[in-house]
Amino acid sequence: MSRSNDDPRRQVQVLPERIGNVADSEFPGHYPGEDHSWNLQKFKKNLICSIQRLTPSTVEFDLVGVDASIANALRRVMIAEIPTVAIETVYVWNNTSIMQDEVLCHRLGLIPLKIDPRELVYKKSANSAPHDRDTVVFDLRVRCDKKDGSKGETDPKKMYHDSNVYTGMLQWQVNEDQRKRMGGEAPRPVDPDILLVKLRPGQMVDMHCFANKGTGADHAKFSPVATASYRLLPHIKLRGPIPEEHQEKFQKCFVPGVIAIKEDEYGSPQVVVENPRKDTVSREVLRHKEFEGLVELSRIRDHFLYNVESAGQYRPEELIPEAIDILLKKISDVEVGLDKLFEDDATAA
Amino acid sequence: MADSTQQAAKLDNAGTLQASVLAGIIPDKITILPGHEPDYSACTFCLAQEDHTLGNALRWMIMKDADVEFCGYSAPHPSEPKIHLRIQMYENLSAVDCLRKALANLRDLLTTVKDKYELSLASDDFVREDDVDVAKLVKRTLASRGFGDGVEADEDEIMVD
Repeated sequence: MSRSNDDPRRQVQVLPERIGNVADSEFPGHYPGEDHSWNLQKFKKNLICSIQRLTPSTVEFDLVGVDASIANALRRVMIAEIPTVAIETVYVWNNTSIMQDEVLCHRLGLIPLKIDPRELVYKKSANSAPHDRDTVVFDLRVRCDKKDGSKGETDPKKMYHDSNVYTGMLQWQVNEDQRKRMGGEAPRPVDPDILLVKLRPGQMVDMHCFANKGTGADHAKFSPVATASYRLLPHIKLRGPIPEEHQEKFQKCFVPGVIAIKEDEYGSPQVVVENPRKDTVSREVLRHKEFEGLVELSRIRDHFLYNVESAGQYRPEELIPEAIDILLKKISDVEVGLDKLFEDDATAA
Repeated sequence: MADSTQQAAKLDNAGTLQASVLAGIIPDKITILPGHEPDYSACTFCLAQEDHTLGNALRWMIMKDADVEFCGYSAPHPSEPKIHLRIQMYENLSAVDCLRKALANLRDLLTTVKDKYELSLASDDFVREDDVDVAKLVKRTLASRGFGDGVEADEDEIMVD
């Protein structure tokens, strides 16, 4: 089972003016007589990964028992290295809207597209000819016109046809081979209701858009996550009983739900920590003289609370396995590189 | 003699990089910088196309090895997509073997995390909810504050042909 949260080695101290004990010290040779070298069995025993909450767009989960470098690697890969498909090249045949071509094209690039990136390959180079294996084509052709009999009307919706251009108006250039590979689903924007530009009678946009596969490292529009972050689990240790007259004040130093006042076996009210997870670690409690020395705030160094919100290209629960696969690929790339290095070395010698 | 210089050239990262710039080829994934111990008990590796993502994780895993005297990494320049990884071993052990071992250990670690994650996903022991309908929430809030009617219902109904 996992180690106790009261173990001071697992705690990052939250002090009034600073944080302490930030770095992990459990490395071989640090503590005499203790073995802290890598041990897969021990790691497996201590590791906890449990999903807490899942919605169509977000996943929240706990990862306990890993180092910050691993947790951070997962976060970084989710943000910058999981590929998605986004509009990369646009031919502007006509644009008489008030929005400049380049601004509108930039907006088109930022639209999250519901296309499974695993079914496409990266384009060989920026200048190589598009192929249906690497490029998905959309057309945006909208023209605004006056509606008949709308005299005296002031609402643009009632006065004009297509005065608002939405993402849902992007039309996929049908390619049956692509449709088959996407499991019969036509590529489309994730949200059909994002406003791209407004038009007035006589204005039109006619654009030919090429979507390619890319990663967030190249451009943030390719990032599959809206947010991918973690925080450390807050830990509150009560060092002594809080006098009854201060209990309500003590409770109010924390976010509602963190501290509860419960009766002990003698029927007198006592302060207990109910749910430290909800705490924001505001340190308000450390500002008051009457609570000095009665409470210790900390965070658990290897208990990560992840919050991952998908931008829509992937289901949120798919992101972590994807990120791990990409990290595994990095590892095997280095291994292959090492083999090659010493192979060359052997032939040279 | 000629052999040893040739060998050094192979492992000389600066040379490789320059050659790659001239020939337009992708540099090797991993090279060993000049100045390493002849028995590889202390060397600095250069990993191309890598950053803190792998660098820090690998550094941590290498530091978990009891035979390692020192391990550190750096990204020499933010616009160069490479990292330098320095490993020094006790008792003249090979840093290359240590790196291989660390890579294998890191793979074990990640597969363990993945397995546990998928186990948790399959157990279905978590809260499933719908997303907050922001548009609805805003409308309700405005209405409760008495702004409901005055607000233009512009983005309310979307007409997509």
